[in-house]
Amino acid sequence: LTWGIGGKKILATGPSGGRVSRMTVASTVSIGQTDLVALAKAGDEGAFSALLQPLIASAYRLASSMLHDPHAAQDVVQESSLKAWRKIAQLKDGWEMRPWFFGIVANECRSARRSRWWSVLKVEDPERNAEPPADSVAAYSDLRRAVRRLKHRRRLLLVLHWYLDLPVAEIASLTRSSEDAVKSELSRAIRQLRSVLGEVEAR
Amino acid sequence: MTSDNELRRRFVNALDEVIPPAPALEARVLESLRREERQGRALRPGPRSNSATPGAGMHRHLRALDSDSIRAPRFMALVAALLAFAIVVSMAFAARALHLRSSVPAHSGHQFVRLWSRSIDNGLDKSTAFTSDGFVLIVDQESGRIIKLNASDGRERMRWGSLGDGPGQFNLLIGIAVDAENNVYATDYYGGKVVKFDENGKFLRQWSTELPTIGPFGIGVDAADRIYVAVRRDHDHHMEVFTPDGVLLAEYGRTGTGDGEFAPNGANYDQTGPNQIVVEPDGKVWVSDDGSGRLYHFASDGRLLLQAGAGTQLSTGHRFGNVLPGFDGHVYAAAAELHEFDASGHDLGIFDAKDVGLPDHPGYYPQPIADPSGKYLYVWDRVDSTLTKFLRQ
Repeated sequence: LTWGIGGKKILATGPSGGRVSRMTVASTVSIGQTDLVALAKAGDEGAFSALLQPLIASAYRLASSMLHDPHAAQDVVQESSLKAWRKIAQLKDGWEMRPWFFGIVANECRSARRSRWWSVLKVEDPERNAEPPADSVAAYSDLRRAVRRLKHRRRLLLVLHWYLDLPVAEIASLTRSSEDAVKSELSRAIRQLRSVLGEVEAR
Repeated sequence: MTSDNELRRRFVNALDEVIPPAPALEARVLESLRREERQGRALRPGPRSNSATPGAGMHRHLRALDSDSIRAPRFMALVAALLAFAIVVSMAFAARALHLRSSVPAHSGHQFVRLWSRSIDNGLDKSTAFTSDGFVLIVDQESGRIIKLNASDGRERMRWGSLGDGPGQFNLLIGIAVDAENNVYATDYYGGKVVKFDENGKFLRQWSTELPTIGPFGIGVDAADRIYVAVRRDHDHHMEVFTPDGVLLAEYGRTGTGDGEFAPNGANYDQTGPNQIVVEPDGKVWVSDDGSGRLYHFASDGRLLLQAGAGTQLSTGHRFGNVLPGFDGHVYAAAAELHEFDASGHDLGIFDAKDVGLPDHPGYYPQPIADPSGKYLYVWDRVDSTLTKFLRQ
């Protein structure tokens, strides 16, 4: 992997020099990340882009999962990226870019869902169809509906852990809570999901 | 009871199934970062963290003052506030020098950002479109031109087009839309054609709707770059769907008085039919029918999903004559007032000029233009020919 960074180049290649395993690449990226973070904090947009680039696809999946709107999700990722760039100085030494950036994305998703903003004169609801148009993708629709009924935080934890495969420690860092708290909340989220799906009673 | 692993597998599949790939997103994000860097608008990290670039937009400065990334001593904060005040004052003087109005009253639900005025004709609804690289396009029907403004500061980047029958010319320019590559599509109602330009206004191609007479009106593009055109032709009102190269893919809808049909009106043939349209990323289409005053929502295959307005199951007694894109999948439908609808057809209320602190012009509604980023609302005041930008809060 070679990144061009503001005229410099940082080389991060697996030991074999050719095709590298995912684990090797991840390890190499991790080593190079400290330098990239330092450069980004110094105002190097290229370094920041190099840090950000591998995270964009996952951030999009995270935002789409939270918003159920791919179009809005792309906007959230773009806005989160700009916000991260403006706040990169706040990334503390020793913190990983990924949980920090995903935290920004998660916050942006929350904001996007709250963003009714101008005052409107409410009128009495007209007669309406009770049900929205049927989901064109039938398979797993029950599960998707169940996921939508989870509260923001529980849905976020499930998406991070199950969908994006983030370890509990990283989720704890992202959500600024303890690993035990994350495990406990994940357990409750799974239980609630089963409950909504009619498998067990919720607690 | 399914195992956790099985539930997880289903969870992943359930999400994978409805999240389409976004191949252009990475380039879009990186380009937006580069643009911020070039324009010097970002709060620069590290040693330059307190140096908001002079000349950046007012909203950036306001954001900068709010940012918790600034951790300066109180004295420095005072200096920064004075500096920001000086910048705001100088910008206000500059605005006056440029004959921009600055008398928009304050309103608690939004934050005024900028107002500018351009030599764009008034009196007609403006069709607008946003590009992914930060420009807003507005049609000028009187001159047959498309005007490209920088969405951040309102400066005109370019304008192109002219009146006429030739390639790339318009008899009556009506609708405008942009695809993922920022190619521009515009409809010529009296010319009976759809015209495609590249992002720099270079003419690429044009094609007629199915019958090369009058007709193409509202236009929109879905996430797959399919082009949707409302064809407004008495006794033959309908929707047509094209590839970006103008190959007809499908058509649906018809003239009539039934559900989902576009009402005819004999003598005033060009006063009825489908008006502007809002196309959702998955191909669903909102379209208003001038003849019946109804608002329709069609699925991508042309099925009628719902209808609102006079004489429908979602009747509000209003007659809707135009539809505009809103935020979060909502649309604005114009009757005597501008109503906001959510995706299920619920009438959420009236968008009033006063709601955004703009002057109220009886008989005219303000025309909101939702920024695709969801960050800003632009409002076109067609009486005063002004476009005002608000920061969404």
